[in-house]
Amino acid sequence: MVTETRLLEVENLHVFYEVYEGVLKVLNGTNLYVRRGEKVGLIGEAGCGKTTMLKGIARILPMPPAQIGDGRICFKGKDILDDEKEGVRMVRKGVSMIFQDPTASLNPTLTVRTLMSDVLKSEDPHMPKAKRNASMIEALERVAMPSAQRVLDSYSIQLSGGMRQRVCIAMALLKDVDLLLADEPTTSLDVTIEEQILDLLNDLVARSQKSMILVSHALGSVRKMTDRVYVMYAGDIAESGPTKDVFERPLHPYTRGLFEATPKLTGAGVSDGIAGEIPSYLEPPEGCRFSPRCPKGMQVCLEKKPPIFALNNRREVACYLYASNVGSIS
Amino acid sequence: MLPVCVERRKHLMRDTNKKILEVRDLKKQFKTRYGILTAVAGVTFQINEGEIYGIVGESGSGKTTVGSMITGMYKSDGGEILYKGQDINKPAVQRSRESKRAIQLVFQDPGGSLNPRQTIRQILSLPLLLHGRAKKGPALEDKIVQTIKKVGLPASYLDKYPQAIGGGEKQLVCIARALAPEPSFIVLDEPTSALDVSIQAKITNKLLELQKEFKLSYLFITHNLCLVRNLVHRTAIMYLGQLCEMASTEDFFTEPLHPYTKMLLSSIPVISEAEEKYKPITVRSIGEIPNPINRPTGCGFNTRCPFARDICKDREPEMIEVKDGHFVSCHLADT
Amino acid sequence: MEMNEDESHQQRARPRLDRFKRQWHKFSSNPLSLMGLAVVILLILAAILAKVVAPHPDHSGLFLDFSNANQAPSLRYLAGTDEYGRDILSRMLVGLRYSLGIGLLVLALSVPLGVLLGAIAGHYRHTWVDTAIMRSTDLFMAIPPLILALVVCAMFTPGYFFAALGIATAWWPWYTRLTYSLFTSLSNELYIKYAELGGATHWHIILKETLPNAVSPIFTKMSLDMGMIIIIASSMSFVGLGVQPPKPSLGSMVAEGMKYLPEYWWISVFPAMMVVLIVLGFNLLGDGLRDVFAIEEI
Repeated sequence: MVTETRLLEVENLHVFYEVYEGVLKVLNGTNLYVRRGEKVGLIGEAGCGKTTMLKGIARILPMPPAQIGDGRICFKGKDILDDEKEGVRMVRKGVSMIFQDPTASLNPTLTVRTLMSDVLKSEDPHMPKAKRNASMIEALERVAMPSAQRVLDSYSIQLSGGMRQRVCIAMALLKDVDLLLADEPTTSLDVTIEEQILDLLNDLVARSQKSMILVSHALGSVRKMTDRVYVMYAGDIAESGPTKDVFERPLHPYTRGLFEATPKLTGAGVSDGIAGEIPSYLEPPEGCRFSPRCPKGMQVCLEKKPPIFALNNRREVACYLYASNVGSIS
Repeated sequence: MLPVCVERRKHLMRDTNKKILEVRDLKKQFKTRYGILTAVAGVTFQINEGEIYGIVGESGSGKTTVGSMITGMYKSDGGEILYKGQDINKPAVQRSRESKRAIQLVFQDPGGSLNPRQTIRQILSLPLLLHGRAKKGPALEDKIVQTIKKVGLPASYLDKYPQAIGGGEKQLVCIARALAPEPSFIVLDEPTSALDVSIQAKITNKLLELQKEFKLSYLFITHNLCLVRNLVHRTAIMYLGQLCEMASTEDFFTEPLHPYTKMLLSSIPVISEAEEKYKPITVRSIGEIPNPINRPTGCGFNTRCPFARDICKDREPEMIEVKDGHFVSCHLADT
Repeated sequence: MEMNEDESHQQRARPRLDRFKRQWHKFSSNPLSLMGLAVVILLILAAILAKVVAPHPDHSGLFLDFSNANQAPSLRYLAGTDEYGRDILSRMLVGLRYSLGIGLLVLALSVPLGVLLGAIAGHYRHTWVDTAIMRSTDLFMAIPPLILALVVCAMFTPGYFFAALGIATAWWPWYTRLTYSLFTSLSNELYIKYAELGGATHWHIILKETLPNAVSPIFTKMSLDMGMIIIIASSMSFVGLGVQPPKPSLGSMVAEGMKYLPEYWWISVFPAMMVVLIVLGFNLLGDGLRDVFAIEEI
């Protein structure tokens, strides 16, 4: 059940990386929000900034090369960028994250029991051992893990990929968090297992009223899983809206190109892809970052960055093509 | 409007019916600490000249191992591999020069398959020299330039190191490297899986172009069913080292027969309603892929098959031709 | 998109230069690495120009001046004089030549041999070649290096070259081991497999495909080794093997000064400090190199 209260609100976020060649201006005033109980998807191709966004929210950006410039990230009403210590504390308490590669996320020298009890101990150091054990078994059962007891005593390398990811999900849900961040959680898994994991995530999140941000370049998974979706290109949000709507009627030329380029089960053939290349973050184009490649690019697109136009039905597009459609049915 | 695929289906027509590659009862096992891992448990199929043949499967299916044995990276443990009638079932070093030249390979990971300490020029000169397409000297440079242009990259790329170019372009270099010896048959193992969707489309298009231009045959190994749907002429699916089903792509996707095929097809996340309707009757995915070291007896899929019967646990099913060109290996299909 | 002759030649120069610039940037961001580099450059210059820069160059040979023996450091003799009245600073500078020289000589003798053996063993791993080479390596490593060096050195007339030979005998196995492990891990790389599949000759694979990817750790080790080699060389001079008197060597200078401690401390202490400086410089340089080569990705 999605409520109207905004659990997370990212406003005007600027993130850049200082590297040898100069400054990579990745995020340039990006906005995003997640309401309570809502599942939001963030899609885009490699290097579009979606992982940067996610890590920025989780406050795990590698701070020497990365720098947060302007902007606010409001979690539960409070700006977590404002006060360093307090912000990190809030995030550690209220947000958990699942990463792409479950093998890399689990320490191979520790048993699952140790890994999970570390999470529990960090939250409540005085929890009695029996209660901890019970919580762990319950968490594993919630993720449909067969033979939970045996798994607890195993090392992560003894488990299959799907089981490892289930352990990661169980660990993420051990704490009573408000927001779950998932960065490509099923990319390294097989298709049939992926379906099971996605259904599982869906179920767990829905039942516990948590919110979720799912980042993925696997468009189909996001379409299945989310209520609302943001499409990112080169650090900017191209468009956003209810998932079904965005997938059925993509508005931004980039989104259209992306969907067009994805091979379809209907057998329509191989598309030509999108002409051109992702711009360099060192010297991003003035104006709309997609304009050099856009088949419908206009002069104004090259000169000035388009604002986000709010259309009906919670659809937002950052494209001058829709300037006149503001407020009307698109 | 955005670019639309040209020649929607024309490329799917085959030129001749001559066999270029034939695989019979191919087997491969690995000895591990925990037991014998059966990677490939006896697969039989053939590829015609000018055909793009796709093998799909998840992890543990053995599809990559099949590709590796065809290119000679591994020695098989049984069965035959015939290239144009000639037996090539041995490691590459023991094969004839001609067959080494004619069969080439494109790996999945473009970054890892190019030597970071060599320039593109050096990387491309190796296959040209190895397979006798050119000798050292000015003629070599010309050939190298010719090769890189085949994939649409400019000659200025020759001086670059692989780290300086993007993923899609690296893969194009790998393809150029495979084309350098002027082969007839290329095994492509997940060539686009590591790339973004928009670049995948470009690479796939390039592969189709090259296939037509140089009259090549491809063995395309992937787990991406949607890609296979639009690219290959014939599709085969493997599970735990066995071939479950083989058919023309059209038949494979519109009338899947094997329960595993149905399960896989109904699990694919798709991006449009139109595609949802295209999926077969839903066979929900249950269970996990068993460990190939402890292969289930009988049909490898029986542990997860919703239609499994006793016979499935006892006997391995035979591959039978149910319809013209449509083969399936399932006890159910017998009825 | 054809390029004309000039442009394509310019392009040709750039990739290597770009790579070097990037590595330099990484290296110079660490002040300690820069310090190490500065110290090493300084020492090399001092060694080359020793006879020119030294205030009393003739003191490095046969020289006696008992009237000035055991003088404390002063403006005339910046590091004092030893028991024979020789200026310690000048002797240190000339001794530096021998120390650095021995370091380079040992590396020149042991690295090519060690790397070659390791490369061959790594390339032919799991065959008799591998076993033969690596077990021989183990044999040499089982003997303590200083002892081995001393034994070899003592078999010939003591002197500069044989001291280096002795140390090299103990040193090459480490390079063999390093190269072997590098080759073994590199053998899984796809581009190596590709070359093997195509039928490239073994030499091509060893020299052109694998070895270029293994040089970085080898260079790092060489730099880090310099310090250790110089200490061993100094130890050998300390016991009388190595450079023979009256030629100065840092180790023998320390040895000679031992009997005068603690009154005439400068005779031992200054040469010892020079050894410390050399080792520190090379270690910092080696650490810096290791950091640079660690992550080479753009």
